Amino acid sequence: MPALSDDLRLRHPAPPAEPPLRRQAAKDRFQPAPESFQYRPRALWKADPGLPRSPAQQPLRQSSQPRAHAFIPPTDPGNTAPEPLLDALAASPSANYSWPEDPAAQPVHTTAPSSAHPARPALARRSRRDPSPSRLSYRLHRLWLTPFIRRGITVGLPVFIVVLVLGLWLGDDARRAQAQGFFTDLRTAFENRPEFQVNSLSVHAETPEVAQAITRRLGLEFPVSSFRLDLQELRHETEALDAVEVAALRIRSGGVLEVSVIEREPAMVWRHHGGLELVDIEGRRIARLAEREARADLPLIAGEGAPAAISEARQLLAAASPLRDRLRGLVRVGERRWDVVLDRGQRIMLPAEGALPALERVLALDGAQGLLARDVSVVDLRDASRPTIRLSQPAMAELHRIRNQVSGVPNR
Amino acid sequence: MTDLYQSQRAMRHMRQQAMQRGVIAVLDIGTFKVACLILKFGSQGASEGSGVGNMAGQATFRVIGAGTTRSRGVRFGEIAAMAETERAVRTALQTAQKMAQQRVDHAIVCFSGGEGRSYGLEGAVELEGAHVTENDIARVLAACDVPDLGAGREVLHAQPVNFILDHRSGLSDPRGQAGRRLACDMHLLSIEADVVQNLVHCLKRCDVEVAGLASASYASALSSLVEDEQELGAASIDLGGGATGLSIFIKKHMIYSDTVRLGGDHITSDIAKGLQIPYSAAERIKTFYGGVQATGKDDREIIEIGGDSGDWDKDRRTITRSELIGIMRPRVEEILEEVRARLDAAGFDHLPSQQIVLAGGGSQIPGLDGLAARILGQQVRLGRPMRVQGLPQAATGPAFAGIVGLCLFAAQPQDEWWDFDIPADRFAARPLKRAMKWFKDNW
Repeated sequence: MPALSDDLRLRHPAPPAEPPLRRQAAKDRFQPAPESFQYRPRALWKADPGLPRSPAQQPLRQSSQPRAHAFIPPTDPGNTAPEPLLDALAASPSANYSWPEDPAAQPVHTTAPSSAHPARPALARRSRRDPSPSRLSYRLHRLWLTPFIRRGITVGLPVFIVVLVLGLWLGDDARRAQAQGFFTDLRTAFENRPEFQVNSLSVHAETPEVAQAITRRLGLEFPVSSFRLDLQELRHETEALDAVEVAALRIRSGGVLEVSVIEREPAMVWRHHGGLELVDIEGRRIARLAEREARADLPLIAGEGAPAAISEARQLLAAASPLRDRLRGLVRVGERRWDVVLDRGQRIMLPAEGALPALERVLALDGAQGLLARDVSVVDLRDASRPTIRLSQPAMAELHRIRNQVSGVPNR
Repeated sequence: MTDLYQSQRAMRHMRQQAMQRGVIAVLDIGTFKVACLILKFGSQGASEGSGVGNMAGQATFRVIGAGTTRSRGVRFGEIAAMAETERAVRTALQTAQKMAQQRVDHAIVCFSGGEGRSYGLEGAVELEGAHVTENDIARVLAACDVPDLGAGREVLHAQPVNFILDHRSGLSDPRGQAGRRLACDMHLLSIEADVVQNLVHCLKRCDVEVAGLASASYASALSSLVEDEQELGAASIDLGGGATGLSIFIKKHMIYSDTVRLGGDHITSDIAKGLQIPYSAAERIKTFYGGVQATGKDDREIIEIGGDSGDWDKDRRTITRSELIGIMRPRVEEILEEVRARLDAAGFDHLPSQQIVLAGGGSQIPGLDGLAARILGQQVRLGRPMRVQGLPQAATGPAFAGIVGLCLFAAQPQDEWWDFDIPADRFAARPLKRAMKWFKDNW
């Protein structure tokens, strides 16, 4: 459609004519500042405090600082008058020139020109710098972002360095010994502090003999550091003593090692080849007894292996309570069975199995027929189907005599 | 061409590997800026049954690092000074890596240079069996006649856009359908090989491997066109710094792409020449005061040009805004008319919908949509890139349409020609791949 395209061109005429002319006009519109007005760069509106200021100076003097892009004269010429050079650089040609007559009153412009516009040159320098990273820094950055490398540097390298330094330092024997000695000394010094010293031992036992035995057995030398006392070991040591059932150790304040023991209760006296010994209710040995009379209140058992069967012995003793005043003790025979020994040399031999019913049977016989009151030396119940009685020698002779008398056999 | 074919396959493979590893960079090397985003692919996408689809692949990734820097050594979207460009790319990459706290080794790159040329190809084969198989698709793609691309040109994109089975056209995925004769239309975008070689070399010097290449106009259209525009037909115009890319979409496929080698930098240089000011000052004036539609108020708006020459008169010059518009407008008109000519040549008039979307940094000129509506047609809108997860606010402007589109391209790449010719041992590879996927999903 040619009409449309023509129309289009008609609707879009050429751009507004003669931009240069318009710019010229704009320039003409500019009115120069009135004489009284002086252009001052914005940065200089605030007076520079570093600048020496004489009260005689006119305020207009300060505005004659050179602009950043203006020519800055050298400061050295001493013989030529500096003032016109400086003032020729005033911002506006229509500035009011005025300066004091005395040249010595001039402000010294040694630092002012460089500090007047610090921003401009720095900005220019910054914009000139290449913002792109160098190839090396780019590669290093990429390397840094690689997870393996990054972990290696942040974690692996410090660990490696620490290990390496420690290894090198400890590689020398003397140094290792020195370090060890240092730590040992430190430890010893700490352990030997008075707070941790144990100075005495106090043993709480029921009998003084046991207390003495414990003290002797532990054999501690005071003062000693509590770090060096192994209470567990000391407790085992104490409980290894026969007379001690349970021991409790603690270090009390004031540096006292306190040992509390519960002693074993003697239940019977055991006679064996070596002599007399006290045993407790479980048959465990407590102490050696010098003589029977010392503990006449305790029943006596005898024979090898008697303490091992002490529970049966207790039952037998309890059952034999009717014979209490006649009972001399129990004898373990062959570590198998018990004999009950009475006074007058009487002995009740009990079987290995079922000793208690057998004893009760004897007691029943005794109660019914006064068996034990007769002249019987041994009541043998070892074979339950054949209880046997052994008479004493005179009783046996008397029995023979009576039988012969009855049967008429002449006395031999 | 077989070289590029192989290297495109290698790039596709590399991209898949990088996405499996989870991190990939996308890089937009433009004339005005170099932008870099680092994407993290993970399972933070929409969960099953939440009512949110996969949103064109956007939900599967997240931007974890972004870096933008002024481009250097690039003209018309092509590398003109390799060392300078390398520095710019390094700056962008390092900034993004620093933000992401992660290094990237693979990058997908888009660029607008290289004088892309579009070709529409067609090919047809008789089916071997009763149904269309993947092998048939590979065969029909291979049957397309490749035109003479010219010396030193290679294929950048080769996308099948349409399949025809017997007499039924407009099929997007004919696999499994019954028929006898399969034909296809393919859009092929060729590009100068040297430009690509320079780009790959430049990235190799930055220790980054190229995992994919895309045309900037294609990437920009992916992010600035909404879905129905892509479906119904639309043109995306990416007004860049050194080149203006345009791409036409219909049925969600790019069917035409071209580049006008004019852009925002030309506007800036017009201003710099016309006002006799440095390039950076011209860029600043264009950005702050630029426009294309002069009004009476603009005559009264005085702009101080500024300058650093030391000449007081020269540094105090002022212009009015209408003068600035008077400089900018002819150049913008020239660019748009050039675009119009390319669209006409492509037959854009015959599309059912003729939506035009302006994107790129140049589209931020105030009043551009009005001017573009006069030159290009009534249906013009200003586009912005769609939002992706984690994108910094600073990178949401239309200037970042290209790189955001590249993110989408990375997340859900279009099937290309080289994706189809699958070797015969694919049946052996498939269960292994499935097992790998199972491990990836469950561990």
